[in-house]
Amino acid sequence: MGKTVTELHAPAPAAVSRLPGSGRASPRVAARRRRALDGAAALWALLFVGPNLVLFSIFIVVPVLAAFALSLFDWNMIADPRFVGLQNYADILRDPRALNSIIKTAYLVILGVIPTVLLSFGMAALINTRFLGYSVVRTLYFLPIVISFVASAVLWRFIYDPRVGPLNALLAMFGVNGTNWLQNTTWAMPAVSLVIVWLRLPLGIILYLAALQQINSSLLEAAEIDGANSWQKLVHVIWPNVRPVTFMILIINLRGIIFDSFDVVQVMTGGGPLDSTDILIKYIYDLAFAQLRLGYASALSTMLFIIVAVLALVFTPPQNPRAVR
Amino acid sequence: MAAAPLAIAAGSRMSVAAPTGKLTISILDFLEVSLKPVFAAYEAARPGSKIDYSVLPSTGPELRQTLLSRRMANKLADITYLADIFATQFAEAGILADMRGFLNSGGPITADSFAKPFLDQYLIVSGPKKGGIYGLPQGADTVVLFYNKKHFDDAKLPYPDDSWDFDKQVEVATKLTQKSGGQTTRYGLGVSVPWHATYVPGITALGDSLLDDKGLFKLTSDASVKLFTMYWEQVKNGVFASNTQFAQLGQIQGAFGSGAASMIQSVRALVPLIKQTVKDDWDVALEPKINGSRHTGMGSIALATTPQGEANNKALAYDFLTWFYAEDGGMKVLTSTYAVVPPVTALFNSPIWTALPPPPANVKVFADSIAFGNMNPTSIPADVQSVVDNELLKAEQQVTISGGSVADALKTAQATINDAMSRTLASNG
Repeated sequence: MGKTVTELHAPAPAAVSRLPGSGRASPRVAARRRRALDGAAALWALLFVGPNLVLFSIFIVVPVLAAFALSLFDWNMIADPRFVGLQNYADILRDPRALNSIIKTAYLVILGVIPTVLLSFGMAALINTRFLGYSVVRTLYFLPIVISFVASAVLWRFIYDPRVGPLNALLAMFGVNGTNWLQNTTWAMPAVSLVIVWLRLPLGIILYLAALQQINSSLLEAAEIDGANSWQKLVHVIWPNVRPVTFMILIINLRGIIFDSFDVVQVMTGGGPLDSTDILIKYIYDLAFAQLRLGYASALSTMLFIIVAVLALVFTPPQNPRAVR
Repeated sequence: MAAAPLAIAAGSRMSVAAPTGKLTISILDFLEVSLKPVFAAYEAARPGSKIDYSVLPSTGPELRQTLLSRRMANKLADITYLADIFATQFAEAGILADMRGFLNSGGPITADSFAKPFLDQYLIVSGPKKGGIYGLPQGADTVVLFYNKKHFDDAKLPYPDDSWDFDKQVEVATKLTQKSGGQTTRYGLGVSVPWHATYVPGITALGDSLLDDKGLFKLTSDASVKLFTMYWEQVKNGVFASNTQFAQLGQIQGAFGSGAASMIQSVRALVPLIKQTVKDDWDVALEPKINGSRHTGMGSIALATTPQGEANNKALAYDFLTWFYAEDGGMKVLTSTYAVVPPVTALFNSPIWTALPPPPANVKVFADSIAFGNMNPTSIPADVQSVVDNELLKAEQQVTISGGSVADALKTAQATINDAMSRTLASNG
């Protein structure tokens, strides 16, 4: 049975009894020594965590708190801020564009996160073998990660162009009359989400590839000896081993798609047509910087932060208490 | 560093004891190419002076954010550029100084030097800064009709002339439009319908106004509905391209540059870009009449001193502005880029811009067009203008993509816009 962290740090009873002056008083000495050791460990921990904690506080905690504080005011950066309490939060419920953008954000998450996770896993599994030119193929898969979101959005806008874009030209070869993808209220969001998935795949593939290469080959060999076919190996051996990574990819993409899709949407559709791609982050940007309603924009940002935090907690993989100990 | 006291100067020839020192100027990003030679010419004309410029984003939200942040940090340049719609807001925010100080300083440039409609864009009509002038126009830009002569020649159509009205424009645009498989491959006309420079003059031509007596939008008026219907019907027909189509055509200049639009309604500021991209011969004409009268959109960008510039570097800033508007000073360099029609009335016929090699050949159009200019009401706060732009774009999509009625789409837009208008006016007290 494994030892707890405290047990590992505590000196063995035999060792304590050998300390000078030990004897009947040894429990007190041992306790003092244990406290000293714990104090040293805490000092080291602080030394390592401290710088990160300071930066995290300055760039994350303080802005989050400032955004919450700002959400209680009506402010346009010109006149003096006016305290309005929770009025901005109440206004969200009466704002049809806010409600629409929450729905569109949820739609984008569904269209973006699930395919990203599944495709990342599938592609990582496919390229997790050595074959002639495998490094070239892997590099090609990772290409989108080095292209900026804005450049990608411009590229895909051209691909979707109904007049000169290659997508409709390709469809025409099969007798399919392609639509105007980005000006169609039904197709605009799927078209945008395809680009987002394309941009997010490389990170997922890298993480899955790393996880796949950590799987003990003896497990797979044992499964083969037991007569497992490829599907059974995938479901019963590979998938359970990459499950923690799956949760991580899920959370990374959830956060990324909610917060980082602004540039793609702004360049490709500007939130249109008819608000069909008007995701929350785009609306918050419009409120804050086009309409200068910083208090209301902060209220929406705070709400979005809470939603993402809750979702992150929900999708955090269940911890094994023994593993913690 | 504060400059030495200024001797009255207009351009290089009149400088007697020109001030020296460093002048800081914030410019809009797309002006960098055309303004760099202007600054170099000023430094050459004023030995001992140096212009240190910084670049501002030209898109409205980013421009405002940047300047408001700099104002809060007390880091404004001595002179800053702005777009006309921000004059009131920037004045109230303390970003701009009242330019009456410069115009009444005894120099050769006074309020009367400028084309009145363009200077009036920076005249504050309400609020705490009422009566002040918070910007000097860099150019006098009105909307004119650009046309591709080759497209007209190929279709054996006569070029646009002063007799054109809207119906004639539609008739010709329809003949110039090309389609393939149901998709338009070449539009007869590119026109940004949800742009104030299109709908404000159009509604005026139909005998109405954009705002009511209370300063609220009346987009559901008969004139407004008729005007938007005239344009959007042609967008639905695939004859006109508007904002919805421009997104994929590389904006209006891209549409004209690539030959995807045979005509566009646009401004002099785009001429340098158009000259670079259009391979065919092209020219300009006056905007067609609507309802028997000619009206056209107008707008400008401007420069103004900041309160910091007035306090710390006034002499040099005023010297630069005086030189900038002189025929042998900044205007000569700037107009040579083709991007500017001088806003100074004395230069309307000056060879510094009228004698530039064609295209465009019919440069007189740019000056003549000023007489027909209608500006966007300056009482519309910049915060609300962004809502107006967004809502009218949605209205356009509602009509041209979803097949909704113009009246319903404008009614929805008007409700949202007037909500924003009321909220902003209440917030500003």
